[in-house]
Amino acid sequence: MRRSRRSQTLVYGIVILWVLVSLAPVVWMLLQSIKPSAQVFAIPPAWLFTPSLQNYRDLFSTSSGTQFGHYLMVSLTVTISTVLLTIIVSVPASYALTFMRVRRPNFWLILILLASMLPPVVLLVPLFQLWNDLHLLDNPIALILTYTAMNIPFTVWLVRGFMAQVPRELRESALVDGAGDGRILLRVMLPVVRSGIAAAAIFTVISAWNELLFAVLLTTDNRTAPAGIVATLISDRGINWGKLYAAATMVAIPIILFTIAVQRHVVRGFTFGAVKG
Amino acid sequence: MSDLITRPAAEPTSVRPPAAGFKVPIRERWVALAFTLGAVIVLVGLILYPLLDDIRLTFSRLAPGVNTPWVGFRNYKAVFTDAQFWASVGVTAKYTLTALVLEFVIGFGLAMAMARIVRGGGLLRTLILIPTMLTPAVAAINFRNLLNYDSGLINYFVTLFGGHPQAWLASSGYSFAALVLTDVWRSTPFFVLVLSAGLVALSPEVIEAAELDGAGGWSKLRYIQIPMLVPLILVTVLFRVIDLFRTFDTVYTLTNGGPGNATNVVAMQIYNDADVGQYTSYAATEAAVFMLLTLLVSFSLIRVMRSQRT
Repeated sequence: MRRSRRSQTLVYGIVILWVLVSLAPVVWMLLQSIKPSAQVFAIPPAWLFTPSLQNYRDLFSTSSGTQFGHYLMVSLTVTISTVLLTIIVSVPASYALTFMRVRRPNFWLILILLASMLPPVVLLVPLFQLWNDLHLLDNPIALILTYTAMNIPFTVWLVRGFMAQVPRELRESALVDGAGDGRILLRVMLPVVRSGIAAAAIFTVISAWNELLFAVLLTTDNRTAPAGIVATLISDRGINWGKLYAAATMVAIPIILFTIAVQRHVVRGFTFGAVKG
Repeated sequence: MSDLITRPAAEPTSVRPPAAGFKVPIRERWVALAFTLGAVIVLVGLILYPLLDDIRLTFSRLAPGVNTPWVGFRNYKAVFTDAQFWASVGVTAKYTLTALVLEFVIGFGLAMAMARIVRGGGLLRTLILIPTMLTPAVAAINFRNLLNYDSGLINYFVTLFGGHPQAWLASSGYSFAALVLTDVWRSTPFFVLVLSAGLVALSPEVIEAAELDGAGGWSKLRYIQIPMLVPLILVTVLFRVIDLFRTFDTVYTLTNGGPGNATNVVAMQIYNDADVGQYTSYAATEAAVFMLLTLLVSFSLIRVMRSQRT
């Protein structure tokens, strides 16, 4: 294909302009978090300042009354547990739906699809009551199980899509060799559909780390980091923006770095099946 | 699934139904049961049971100090005649449509540009994706600060160029716009990613044939690229609509539904009516009606997709 120099310049110009505009707020957030507290509010903004970690020190100092370190630990615990649990229960289910001759497989698949379309807020009232009855309010277990339920449908769907591309003969010949389905799943399928599972795991990580609705609903002391930030923002009139920006950065940076590190899988997951390339 | 990163589009592939008169071997049935047990337990316990419980609630009257197990359709009557509930449905619809159109148009334009990029595509794609990864609540807090009347950066620039500072989040129009722009900022990359992958996957032979026939850029786009991408576009739109419909995080953090009810989306309305901790049948009924509306919208989109495919 011929590409003229001018159209290349234009194309790069458009993309780079979007990148600059869309990253400006993120950069601003980082800058605000390392400004000395006194300059966070300055108008005109202090473009030049001596970077300081004061906001972070304030955020994590035990005397300041914020529990942010604890919130971050809750977020980590909930996210990691949710991912492990979601993968452990979803992958075998995907295998069964792909290779087993289940009755009315389409019925189950459509049911799974419907479950993933359900807006979480629909379950707000009954789920609050359920966790309340089980005395698990403010317990990370409630969040872990709720998030697992929210992520299973999509995970099953995505991993099943990857498994459906594996030739059925692979399983059949292993069965003939005397392997059971459990072993086939672990030894044969897992290596083949690794990238599908990785994609599903990544989406689950992002979803659990970022979730807000159930995080504010089901917790009071053992908050996740996003819920902790929002609670302090909405409850306090005199917001310490410097501290808030440090907290925001602490929530944003891990998930951004994580996603960049595993980007290859994300793109595959995003575009899988949608693009017949 | 929460209001998370927008969902990728995995297309359903239909399953071959077993031939007539075929019997599933007993052993296989047990294995299938064992393999699906974990997922089934979690889904039944935390999605199906709460859903049925919600529906049961809609026929009762349960509020602080009141507990009548059966009131028939009274709650539904109340919800259907509740102007504020329907206003929140209207806000949600307006928000979904505005954000969707903007994200699609900008996303398509950027995808066209990305598809032509020769060098540095990987890095640019990573940079484009960053807003999508960011926690929505955190993004909204940041925008809330940027739009602050006294100390916000936006007003600083406005006054710098001789304009008058505005109380952005105190005006219905501006706060709605701020909400839409927050989502456009966050979700346009999803369209860019999927559509640019789709554009790259289009067969170059067809495009070249069109070029030989003298098709210019515009007619190539209109008669070849867009029609060929329709299935992909529809799947992507479906995912975005489902996601936009359930929006809560950004509204809760940026505007809390205000000013007045200008940005009061359905999720916000239900959240406020549930009045955390007050187990109300009214919020449960709003939720049930909202679910029906969601299903209606999703099914109409799926029908359009089906008809496209045949």
